[in-house]
Amino acid sequence: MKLNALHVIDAFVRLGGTGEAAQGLGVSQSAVIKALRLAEQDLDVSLLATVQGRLTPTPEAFELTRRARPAFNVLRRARHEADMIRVGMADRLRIATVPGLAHSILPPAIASARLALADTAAVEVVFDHVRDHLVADNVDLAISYGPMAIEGLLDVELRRSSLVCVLGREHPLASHETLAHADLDRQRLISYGPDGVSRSDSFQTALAQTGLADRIAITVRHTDTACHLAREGVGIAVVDGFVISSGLTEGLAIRPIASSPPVMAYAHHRDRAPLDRAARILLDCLAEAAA
Amino acid sequence: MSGLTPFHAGVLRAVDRYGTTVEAARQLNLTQSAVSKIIARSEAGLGVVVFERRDGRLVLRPQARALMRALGAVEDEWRDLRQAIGELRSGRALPLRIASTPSIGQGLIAQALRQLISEYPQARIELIMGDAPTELSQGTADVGVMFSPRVTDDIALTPLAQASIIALVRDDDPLAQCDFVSLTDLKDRRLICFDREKSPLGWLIARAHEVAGLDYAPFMTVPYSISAAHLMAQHGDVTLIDSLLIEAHRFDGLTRLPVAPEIPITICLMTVRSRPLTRVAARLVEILVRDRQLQPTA
Repeated sequence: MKLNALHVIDAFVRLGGTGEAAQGLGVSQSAVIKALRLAEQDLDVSLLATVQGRLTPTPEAFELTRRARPAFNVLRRARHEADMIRVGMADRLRIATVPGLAHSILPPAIASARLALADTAAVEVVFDHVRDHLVADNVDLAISYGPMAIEGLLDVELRRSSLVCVLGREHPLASHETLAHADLDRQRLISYGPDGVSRSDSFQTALAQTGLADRIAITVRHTDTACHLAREGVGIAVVDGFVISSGLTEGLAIRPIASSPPVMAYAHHRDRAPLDRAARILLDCLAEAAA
Repeated sequence: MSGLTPFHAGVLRAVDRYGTTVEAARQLNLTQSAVSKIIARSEAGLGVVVFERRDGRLVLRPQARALMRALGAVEDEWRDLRQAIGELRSGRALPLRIASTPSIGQGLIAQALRQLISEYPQARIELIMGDAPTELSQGTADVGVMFSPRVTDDIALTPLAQASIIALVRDDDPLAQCDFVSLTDLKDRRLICFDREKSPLGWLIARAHEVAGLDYAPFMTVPYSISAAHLMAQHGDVTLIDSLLIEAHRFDGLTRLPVAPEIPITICLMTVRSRPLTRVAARLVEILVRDRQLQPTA
């Protein structure tokens, strides 16, 4: 099983044909066909078939590519680790976060942690696939909107907030102290989609319980995008109250949503291995800010 | 990734585990110089020094601990991938899905499968009893075998064998003494048969009734021949079914009678033109098509 051959199979399946794969890989079409035929012999697996005059990936080729994806990912991960050594970040603090919390509770906690560590710790923040990163030991800490409830991972509740609306100060609703569901009728609402990692996503639960889940017209990933759109007058951002402590809402009005259920921020780390010093300090900073 | 292949990852892990190139080479069945070269090439490719030379041993540098963990994941994932390839080769990873009727499944397909599993003993096979053209169009079947199907342009039809419609009557029925029956002989009987709209066989039988100037009015409609045969409960019941079922199945207490004039049926293999087959599915098609020449027409 040769790595180069797997790259050719991957391109063939992803791009749908030998000509397209050749273009993608920057080699000739005949080189692609030859590599695929050799791989068929080497692996003893059918990879390409002529369908209506065109060489097409077989179901085996699709399945092989699907099964090879984690193998490619770990190879990329190994190269990333080598890159980190090269730039002097081998001993870094690694954090995964859902995008909604990336620009609210995390930056001040990282700033405090770096102060406590005399600015010695390098930090790597990654977005998305929070649970996968944590389980695969790619990160030390993760934060999301709800417990993961997975064996081997500890869930730590950090803080609670409520849903708030972020809107331009000139917006007619900015004169209200709080906003009720009825106030938001006929308003274009901006918010996050489900984080996809928590067993129970408290942000989405709060949206649903407030009756706003079906009312979101523009879905964004990041808080700053939501606030920027509100600033441009595109609509009203419905976000968590953690955003108040960030600088993202400067020049904007923030109004709580009446009767909002709590939105919880959680930290997660692996249960079996003790947290190293930098991760422990960051967790303390996240929890202290909550207190 | 230049400089690091899964094989190289395995070598670096072995050196970390055993501490010397000599022992790693022994464990991996390589020469010591090959191991040394792989370490040098990997370190050059990654752009980092992974091991320190200390007292004749290779010791992992503290900075490279996370890298070594990542290499462990590479070793594990590529071992899984090799296993996955083995499963693809054996036909275990992707089930062969065949849509058919019970009588074809128990006859023609069962014979073909007997040969197929001698070549692919670990193959996973799903026999789907459903409407083969629909199953193929929806992508829930790879191969369909059915009587005289009506299909869309995207489905390729290969006639496999001829059979015919036969009548089944109870042994105590006076008709059981006949050498054959006509549809007119059955016109006052309680007919258990197929729906003319839902079944290609039902459509053929209904058309034969029309040609004979008879109404096609089964008192009970069933989806499959085997269901009809099992429902012959009362004196006077009669059914018209495909002759393949009787070849595959024995029904005590029932007599098979040819129908005159003959109502021929064609058993067709169906594949989707625009979708390639797995190797196991392609082999089943080969077996079925080859056996077609050996199979005597019914």
